[in-house]
Amino acid sequence: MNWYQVNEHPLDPMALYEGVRHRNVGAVVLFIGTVREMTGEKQTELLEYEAYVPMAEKMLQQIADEITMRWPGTLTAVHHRIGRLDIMEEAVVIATSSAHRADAYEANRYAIERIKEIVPIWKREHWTDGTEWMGDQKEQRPGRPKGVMT
Amino acid sequence: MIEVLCFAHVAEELKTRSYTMTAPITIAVLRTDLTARGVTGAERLMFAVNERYETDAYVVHDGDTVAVIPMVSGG
Repeated sequence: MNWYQVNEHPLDPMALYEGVRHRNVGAVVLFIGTVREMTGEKQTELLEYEAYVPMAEKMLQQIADEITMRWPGTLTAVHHRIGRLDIMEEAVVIATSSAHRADAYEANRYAIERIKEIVPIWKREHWTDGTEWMGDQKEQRPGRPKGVMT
Repeated sequence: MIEVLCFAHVAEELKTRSYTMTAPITIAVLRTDLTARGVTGAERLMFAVNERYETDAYVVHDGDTVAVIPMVSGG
C-alpha cells in the first residue's frame, strides 16, 4: 500500500486500516470524509476535486512526519480521491494507529485540519444552481501556510 | 525560463494549465503579473517552487517549477 496517495481511484478504507496495524497497536482511528448533499439550503449535485498530485502526496507525508513528532509511535496513512465524486462517495480516508486511543484520536483530527491548510487539493462544488471553486475554509493568509516547516 | 503551473480557478481564468516566464523573477512579481493577466484574488494566492511553499521575496531561477496555489479545499 502507498501510505500517501492522491488519485482518481475509489477509496478502500480497509486497506488503510490494514496498513497502520501491527502487533503493538491498541487503537486505530479511521476518518472517512464523504460527499454531502445538503449544505444549509444549498444542494450539491456532485463534487470535483483537482490536485497538484506530486506536491499533495509530499505534503501528506509531511503531515505524517509532524504527527510522528507530536505523538511518537503513531502511524498515519492518507488517501485522497480526485476527479468527479457523487453524493455519499468517499473523498478522503485517514487512518491513524497508536498503542493507546488518545494519540490515534488526536493525530487523526490533526491530520484532517492540516490537510485543509497545506495540501494542494481543490474542491469544486457543483450546486444545483451553479459551480464554485471552494477555498479559504480556514481563513488562511497569503504566503506560506501557517505551521509549514522550512 | 521557468514553468508556472496553474490550478482550479486560476487555470480557468487564464484558460491554461501552465505558462512560461523569464527568470530570475520574484514571487511578488509573479503575483502582480497574475493580476495583470486577469486572475482574481491574486493577493491571496500561495506559491510553491519545486513543490515547496515560498513567500513573496523568494527569487525563482531558471529551470524552477512554480505552482500557483489558490486557497486549498481538500478533505
